[in-house]
Order: sequence, then C-alpha cells, then structure tokens
Amino acid sequence: MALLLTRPQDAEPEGLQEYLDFGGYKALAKVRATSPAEVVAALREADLRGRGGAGFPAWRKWEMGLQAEGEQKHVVVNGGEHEPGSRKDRFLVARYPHRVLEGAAICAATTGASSIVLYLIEDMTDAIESANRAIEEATAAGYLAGLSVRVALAPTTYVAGEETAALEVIEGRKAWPRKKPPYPGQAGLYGQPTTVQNVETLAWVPGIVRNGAGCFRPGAMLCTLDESFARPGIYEVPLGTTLRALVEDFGGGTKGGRAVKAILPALSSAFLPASALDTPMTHEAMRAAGSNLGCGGFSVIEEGGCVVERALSIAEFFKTSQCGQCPPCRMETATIAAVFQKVAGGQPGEYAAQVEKITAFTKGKGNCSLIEMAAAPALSALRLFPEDFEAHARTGRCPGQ
Amino acid sequence: MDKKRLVYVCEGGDCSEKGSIELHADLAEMLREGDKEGKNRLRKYPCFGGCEHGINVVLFPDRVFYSKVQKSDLPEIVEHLNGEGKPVERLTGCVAKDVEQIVWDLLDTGF
Repeated sequence: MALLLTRPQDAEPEGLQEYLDFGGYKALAKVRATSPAEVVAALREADLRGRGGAGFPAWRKWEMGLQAEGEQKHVVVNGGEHEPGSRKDRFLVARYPHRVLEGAAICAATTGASSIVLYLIEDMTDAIESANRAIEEATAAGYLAGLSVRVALAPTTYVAGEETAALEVIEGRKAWPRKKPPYPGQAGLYGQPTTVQNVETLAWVPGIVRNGAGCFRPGAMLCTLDESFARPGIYEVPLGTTLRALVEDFGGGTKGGRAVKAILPALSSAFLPASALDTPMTHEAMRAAGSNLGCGGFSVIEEGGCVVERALSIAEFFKTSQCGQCPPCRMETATIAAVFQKVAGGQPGEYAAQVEKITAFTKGKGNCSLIEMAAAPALSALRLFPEDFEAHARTGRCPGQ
Repeated sequence: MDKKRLVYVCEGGDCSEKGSIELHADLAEMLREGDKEGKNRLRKYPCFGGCEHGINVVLFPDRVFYSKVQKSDLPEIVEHLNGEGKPVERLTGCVAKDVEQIVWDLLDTGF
C-alpha cells in the first residue's frame, strides 16, 4: 500500500482541504507539542535517509541543526533535482505541495529555524506555481505562523543542486559549491545554521511523525524509471525490493522486451550487471553490490544495447556540467570524455588505464562529490563490460551491430 | 616506431579562454615554417589540470611542462623544438608536482 503517493498519478495538485482530510498538518501540531529530541529519535528509528542521492541519515542533519547555536536558523528544501532522468521531486512539489511544506515546517520546528526556503529549478513551472499556492493556503490557515517561507529559484545548471551551491544561489551568487567544512548545519545560509534537505526526504516526514516510525519501516523511496523501461514513470518502491522486481513489476520489463544487460540507478551511480538483479534495494546492499541507490533515476540497457555509447554520453554530460571551479574535476571529466570519444571512434590502446589513473588521482579532490559521480559510471562500465569497449576500439562500432 | 616529439596544447576551458586555440594555430604555423625535418607533432589536449596557470603546453617524451605561455613566448619555444637550445626554463615549474606526475602517467600509457 502506498504511503506517500496515495493519490492517482494524474490527480490535480493536492489542495489544503484535501490534505487536511488526509490528516495533513496534524504531525506539525504534534511536533510543536513535543520535544525536538523525540522527533529526531523518530527519524532515527524510521532510518530515513536523504533522498537527494547521498543517502545521509536525516536524523543526523536534524540533530546538527537542533544543536547548532545561532540567533537565526534556516531550512532549505532542496528541489534542485538536476540529475537527468529524475523527476520525482518536481512531481512531489507539483502534486503534493503541502506534504513537502509540512515536512519543512516540522524540520523548522525541530531545529529551531524561523525561515524556510523552497529551492526550485526555474523551469519547474508547475511545481513553482503549486508551491506558491500551498504557501499562501497554509499561511492563511495559520499553519506557518512564526515562519518566513519563500520560494527561491535555481538555475538549470547541474551543479546548482549541490547543497552548498544552492546556498550560494539563494544568497545571490553563482552556483559554485563551497569548501566543506563548515557544513551547512554549522554555517549555511548567510553563515547561519541551515538544514538542507531534499524534497522527497521532507515529504516522508509528516507520515512518519503522524503514524509512528514503525509504519515507515522498512521504508520506501520514489524511483523515476526512464524511457528504457516498458512502463516509464514515477513509482513508490518499498526498500528491499529487488532490482529484478523493480524492472519487471514496476517497469514492465525493458522497452524492447529483451533481457537486462546493465542497470543504472542514477546517472551519477555505477552500472550494475544482470547478475546483480537480485540485489535488494537498500543502501547497504546496493553499496555492497558496487553501486548505490542514488536519487533513484533508473535506466536499463538491454541485451544487444551498447554500454560504450551510454558511458560516452554520460561522460560528455559531466564534462559540460561541471562548474569549472576545481581543476581536478575539469581534468577528470575532460579526460574521461576524450578517452571515450576515442574508443567510440575506433582507437585501440590503453584507454582503461587512462580512466583508472585519472580517477585515482582526482578521488577525494574538489569542493563537491562531482568527481566521484563522474567516475562511478565510467569505471563500472569499463570494468563490467570490457568486451564492449574492446569491440568499439577495434572497429569503431557497437559489438552488436 | 614513431620518435617524434609530441607537443600538446591544452584546449580546456580556462586555457581556451586565455587563447589556447589561437596559440595552437600560431604554433602550428611556426612549426610548418621552422620544423623542416618534422621532428614535432602538434596535438591538442583536453585538460592538464593546471587551469590557474594556463595556457599550458606540454612536451613529451621530454617531460617539459610549460605554463603561462603567451604568444610572445612562442619563438623561444619553437627554437628549442627545432633542436636549438634548451627548454624555456622560466615557463616551467608552475604546476604542482602531483599534477605534473599524473600528466606523465597518462601520457605514458600512449593513448
């Protein structure tokens, strides 16, 4: 039974009255009457992790926010969903704006923040409209008393979704990630303690508070299945579901009906081979398999499909999407793209060593994790599907063609 | 076996903003005129990671890493490339040692 996506996929945006009928804003009232520590404990028991891609435990961010000292604290709702292939955050804000808003208000009440900024990409027109309407409705009904709540627009550039780049944008500067530490929880927006939390993560919070953490276990996540599936769309998937069940039961199999050759949990994650399809979708199991859950923007490559072309398009995406701030990142993304272009064009040689060497050199460098994000799909593609690369390097064509 | 020296000009974001594409074209012209024996092969390179010190030009297998190269430096560089004199010392030693090393490691693969 769905816990978050409880309404039909094509339903109109959920208005205030409909949300109140569902039990909306009861969790916020409950939180305002309990101690913040209890809310943090509930999130910990629910094991809610950040759904922006990093999977960082929400309770630890909230606890940091609660413990941080500062006259003013902030909550930033990170709707900087720039990862191609992921649409669940814009969907949530557009269709379930009050659930996101209540989650943010609960976060503010727990951490002691007096301001909430909904950070949304400037091209998410339906989400922006929905968010503004929900803020108006909830303010008029008194649910946001004592809080300053506003929408801030993010540029469409990829790096603008990184949490400290988001803070820079909100402060009126270009989307360049900050050096860390300090982390936003210590010194975030305008140097004040700030809890930055992904849209989906916050949308789960009211249900957890209202119904108890036990109702959330084992938890669930929203996944965006792209056009490589027979049934693309946004699905609520229980954690622990196997990748095979995700593909077959939710996605209806691959678009072309052939068996899965590789699955990619997100553009910035490592590929997994068909032999990993029985991996349960948990943070730990996915990591053990060599990848991660990312933001759940899944795509598949079918038997007969070419991993080199996909890896090249991802490498080119990262080359043009890195922000230009950190030289190692420029070097890595430019090198991987150039190497894959040569392979795709039919140049044999030590291409794998090039990618291995440059990614080993850049690992851990730079202000954000883009270096690792660009490395993961490239390295896994080379290691899992060497025969595709060999065939391309020899002939300049896909092995299947 | 190809014994030619490879001369790489960085075409990355920073270097190209500083004019590396034009510098590459100027160097190509000067080598066409001066490198009669064809000792050098001019190439572009995606990014040497020494962005703040661009324009970067690298000689391999000599392992010479030139930084902050300007058009006015080209006659001296070409003189060395043509077999006369030494590398242009004042243009070397700008980038961090580990950056230089990864560049040699990558070029050593021969890809």
